[in-house]
Amino acid sequence: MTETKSTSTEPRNMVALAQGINTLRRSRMMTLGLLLVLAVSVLALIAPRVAPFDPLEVDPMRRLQSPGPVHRMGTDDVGRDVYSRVLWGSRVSLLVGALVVVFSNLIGIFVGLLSGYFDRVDKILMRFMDGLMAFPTTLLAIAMMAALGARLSNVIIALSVVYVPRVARVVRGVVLTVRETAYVESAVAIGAPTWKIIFFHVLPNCLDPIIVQSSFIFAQSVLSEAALSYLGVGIPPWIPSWGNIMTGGRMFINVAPWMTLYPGLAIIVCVLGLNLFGDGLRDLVDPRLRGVI
Amino acid sequence: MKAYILNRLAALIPTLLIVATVGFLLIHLTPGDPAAVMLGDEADLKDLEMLRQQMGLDQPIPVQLLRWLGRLFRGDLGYSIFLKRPVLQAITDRLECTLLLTVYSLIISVGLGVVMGIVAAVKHNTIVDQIMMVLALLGVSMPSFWLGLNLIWLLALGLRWFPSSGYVPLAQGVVANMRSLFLPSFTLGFVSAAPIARMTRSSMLAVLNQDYIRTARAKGLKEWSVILSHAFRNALIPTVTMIGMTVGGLIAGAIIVETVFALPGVGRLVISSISRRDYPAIQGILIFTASIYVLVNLVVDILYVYLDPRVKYL
Repeated sequence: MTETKSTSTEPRNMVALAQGINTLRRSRMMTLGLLLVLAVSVLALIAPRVAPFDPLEVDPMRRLQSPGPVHRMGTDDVGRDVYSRVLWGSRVSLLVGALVVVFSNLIGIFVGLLSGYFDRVDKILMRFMDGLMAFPTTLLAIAMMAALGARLSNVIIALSVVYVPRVARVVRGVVLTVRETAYVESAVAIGAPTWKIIFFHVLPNCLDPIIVQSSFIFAQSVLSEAALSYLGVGIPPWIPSWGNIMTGGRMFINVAPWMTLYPGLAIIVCVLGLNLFGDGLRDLVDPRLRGVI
Repeated sequence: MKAYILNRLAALIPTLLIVATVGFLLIHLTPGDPAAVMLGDEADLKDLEMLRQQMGLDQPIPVQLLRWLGRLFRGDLGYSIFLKRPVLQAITDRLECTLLLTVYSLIISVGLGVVMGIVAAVKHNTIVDQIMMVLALLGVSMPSFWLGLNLIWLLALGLRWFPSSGYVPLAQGVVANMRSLFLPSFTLGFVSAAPIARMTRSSMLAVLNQDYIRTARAKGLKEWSVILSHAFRNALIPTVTMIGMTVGGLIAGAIIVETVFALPGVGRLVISSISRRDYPAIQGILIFTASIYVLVNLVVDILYVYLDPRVKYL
């Protein structure tokens, strides 16, 4: 920004300044988000080393103890250490989130590229995607879990299917615009094979929105996993996921609120971090999308 | 306008067909024979054969699909052997609770979201703006059932302001009904308010910079009149789209919240049907809910054209 003293450009300078401050504030939030996500990820990695107790170790003598020096987050109804369970639970939640992002992107990008680039398959593929999008996400995931059965791998499959249409739509949208650009046209003109055009000219343009969307899919998957487990159609109860720990606590909400409080806070920290990070990324990539989730 | 609506109505048919097909295929995702799973290990062969015939599982899959579509076309969502009644009837029996929960939640989320969004935009870049947006972010980052459980703990079990569970039908009094649904609706409304708040804020911010707002202020209109009748009316359109998207979240969210607050709604029926492995009921509710969702989105799209005459999709 040049420092012009003339009065006519002053409002513009002010706007630019305000935007600069705003971006700074935004990216500070993005940094905070990144730090939160990193903190949760590191804790998940070192959980076996830092967890003071075995998350599965039952001890009826210590049941329903309130948070104290030994059990930082108290114990549950069979005497398991809630803090250790929350630490181990982060591994399950992050695993689900990460794998859902990978699978939904792999399939979504493939479908999006196909339907954006080849008009012949576009109608059929997008109609099918619209059909999938016609279901409220959680409901579709619940119904799929009902059919597949409550298993960790099925949670990942069900959530991936739910998010495929969203990835496909974003990718298709980018492909439709990129395909008309001069550089794609010239690539076609010099006789580049179609797969090369798609992978080297079209796909790189889709990466920005894909990365932004991935952070939101990750956040949503962590929340959805917890919801599915809470409803009893998610991860089997013996695996300590954040959702399962809370499910165990719902009967004891009056005598042991810490059983639900802490795993919930863990989810909030993780999802908030992902959302802040995603917001910041989106603003960097495409400021026009600001405010649109 | 008319042509647009007709076009959209026509586009509804393939979407609903796909919804129905996905709902049909779902049962075939089940590992093994659905009839055997439904009846359990101790079922005798005769019952099994009867159920298979009743559900049409003895037919080839394309025939089953066509029959299924034909039945749906006649408004028949199937029969639940566990509930001993048609699925559609089981749904309508429980519809009041879910419908009211969704409506109350929608009112709360739109009210909260719009007010928070306008306040944040008017107080742009102040501490108020930041508090509103942090609240909105917290809302999208928390599991609804967690909020629900904590509200039960705090307001129902602790302060005893509201019942912790149970449902009072509308017929037994509007106030009692609202009281029984207040905590569930607030839970669902709060977690759905965030996108509306953020959308309202950003579209308000865009509008507040326009010349006609300066003109309105310059001619001496009261500030609230400028904000509500000049700015908000124009900022409304993206908000309406967001509200449409919220309804889908509310329909799915109702399943979770009904479970938390032990409400006798359609959502609870899905969950109990799953534990009973009542596939016809699960399929029926899935199709029913998705169809409602599709219709709501259609209404929102039409409303959108109505609100913004500049938008013409012809």
